[in-house]
Amino acid sequence: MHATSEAGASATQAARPLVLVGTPNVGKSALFGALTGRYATVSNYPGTTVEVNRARVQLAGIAWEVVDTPGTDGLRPAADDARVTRDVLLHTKDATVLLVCDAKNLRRGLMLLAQLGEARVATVLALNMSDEAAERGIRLDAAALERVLGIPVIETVATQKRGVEELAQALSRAAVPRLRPAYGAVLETAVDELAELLPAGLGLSQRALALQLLAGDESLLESLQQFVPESSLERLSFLARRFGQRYPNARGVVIARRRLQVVEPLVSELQRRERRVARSRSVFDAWTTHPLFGLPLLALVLFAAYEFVGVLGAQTAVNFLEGPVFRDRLVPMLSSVLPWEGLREAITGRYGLFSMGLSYGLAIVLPIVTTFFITFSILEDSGYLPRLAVMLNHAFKAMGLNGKAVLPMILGLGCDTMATVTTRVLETRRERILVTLLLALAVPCSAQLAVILAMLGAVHFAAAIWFVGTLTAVLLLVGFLAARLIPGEGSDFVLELPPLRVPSAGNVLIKTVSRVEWYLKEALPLFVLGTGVLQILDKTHALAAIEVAARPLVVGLLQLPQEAAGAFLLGFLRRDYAAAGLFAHYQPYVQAGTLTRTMEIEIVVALVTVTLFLPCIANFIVLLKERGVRVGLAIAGFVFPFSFGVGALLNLAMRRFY
Amino acid sequence: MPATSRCALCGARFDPSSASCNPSCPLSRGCGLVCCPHCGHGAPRDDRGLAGLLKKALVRLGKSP
Repeated sequence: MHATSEAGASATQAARPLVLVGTPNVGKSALFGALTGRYATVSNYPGTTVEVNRARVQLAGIAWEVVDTPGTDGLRPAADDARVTRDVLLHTKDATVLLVCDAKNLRRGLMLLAQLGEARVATVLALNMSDEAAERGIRLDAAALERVLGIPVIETVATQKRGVEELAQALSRAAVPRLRPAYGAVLETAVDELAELLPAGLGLSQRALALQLLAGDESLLESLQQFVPESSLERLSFLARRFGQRYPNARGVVIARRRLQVVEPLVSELQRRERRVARSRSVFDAWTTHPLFGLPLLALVLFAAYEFVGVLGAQTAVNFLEGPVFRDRLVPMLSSVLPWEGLREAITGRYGLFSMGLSYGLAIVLPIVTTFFITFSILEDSGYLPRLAVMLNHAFKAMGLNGKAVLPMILGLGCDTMATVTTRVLETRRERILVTLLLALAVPCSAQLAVILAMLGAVHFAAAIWFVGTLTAVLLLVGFLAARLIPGEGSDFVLELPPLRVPSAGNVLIKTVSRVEWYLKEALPLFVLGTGVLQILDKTHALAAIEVAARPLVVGLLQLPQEAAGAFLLGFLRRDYAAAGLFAHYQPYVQAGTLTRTMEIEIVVALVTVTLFLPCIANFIVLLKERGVRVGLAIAGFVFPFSFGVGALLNLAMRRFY
Repeated sequence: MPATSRCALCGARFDPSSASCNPSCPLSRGCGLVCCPHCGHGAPRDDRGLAGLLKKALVRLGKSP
């Protein structure tokens, strides 16, 4: 098996068309890469593989023109990219289809195979990700499937190139699948009526085209324009509409249900789930994702994180690094070797690049985020994180928020900037704006979560509850308003849950190290830059002027120390940098055990205000890029006054009731 | 065989070298994050730098992560 370039393709042998088809995210592109040697995008993200990848290749002595199509659940496309798949099949005569199916979800693959059977397309079935299916206790009888379906069925693991050689050999044995659903007298009559008007000799059979039209695929008429006379198109449109009136809102469902009646017995017969795996997981799984019973487990997880990050990271490790290492040794040592007073001030002074920028980054934030990243990696590797996402989905749905909005919110816990980019999967402009706003307001990213946990570790538990309660109230309030403005469209949050398992030490180590490396590369330069800006502002007396100008807001409204204005300035660069500034301000009191009730209120008020800021400068840039300058500035214009407003109200409430 | 990463959110395996989060992002140049092609979950690349060396070492020791 070897790939050849387009230009160098065999001139003597006409290449046979091979079309890769599959439901989304089953590894089509990985299999395309494994077959052709050209590693294209592994799957359809973001915005899906709208571009169709092609390559010429010799497989088992036969020349193939391989086409990789976007993922689709059926020949009746629900989106533009799936329409590309339908049209590739429609326009490719005598194609061999390689149907790529997720071995963990045979039912979904067979539903598509049934449509290929109706379309009379020669097919080979690849049961991809078979290793993951085996890990989950799912056993498929490929030989029996082959007998029943009448087509070659090969188990593959595309990312490891397992089964690819067998697949290449099997392509020449491709056959039309034997799955042929019957639709009952009424539908069959309608199918026959439409089929008579449809052209033969296309990539899809007349019957398959008729079924698509009856299922409500209006875009198909456009694709058929070049093959069907205008009068026939009008008649086809009329017949499809008439059928639709007979089954309002449900014609696609009627057809899908008939297909399922053929597919379901096959799945029951040929797929086995090992009871051991299923039973041991099911009880705990159900617990972890339950909207009510999952809460004690979540509380336990948060408490463990609070102790680990807040005590070990923020107290033990920070106290050691910030005091004995940086303040007592490194800063004086560096100061003593720097030759000029001005340079000493710039590097090791009050706003020194080393004494403040690197000290904040390496002595305060680094130990905190490292302990947090260890916690996060354990949650990820154990499989608990996706279950938390499912549980939060219940909460978001209870708020009435559109299901599609949940994923960007969950992703925001990792990185708000990246999550802002993913809001483009939402269908309407209004949805995208509101989810972006929710992300910017109330979803702290992983680095900020770490510093928040550390700060909350310094105050009494009741103060921590005030913080959590305020942010939850903001999220509910904005979410509630968003839900009123975004009518629920019934779109669901679909997430495949990996199995729960004991975390692997190697995995946790690698994930933690990669996150720490990323954090140092991303955050440390900004810390130094921010410190440089503060230093310039200090030298030019602009910082004092800003502090005086901000005094009514910071001291008057929020009743915080005047120095908090500096921390808020840093918050425009990164929220966690601002939190680190606050941490540095209050740490001596925490260490000495002299933190007062007023200081605890100040910490919670400042932390809530900063948390409601825009996440970071990178997020702001992406916001402008994704939503446009006008909307981006409008969101920023809302976020900052809103955060100070909530901070002010919280201050009043805490001083009265805390 | 291309190096693969496993998504921490949905468990899908993918090639990190072809899973940049968003090529049109203004900050994509030099971005160290990869996004799962299945669910979109983002994470720093673990096939480069110290993490990449650790990963290779664990694979060599037969403790494939």
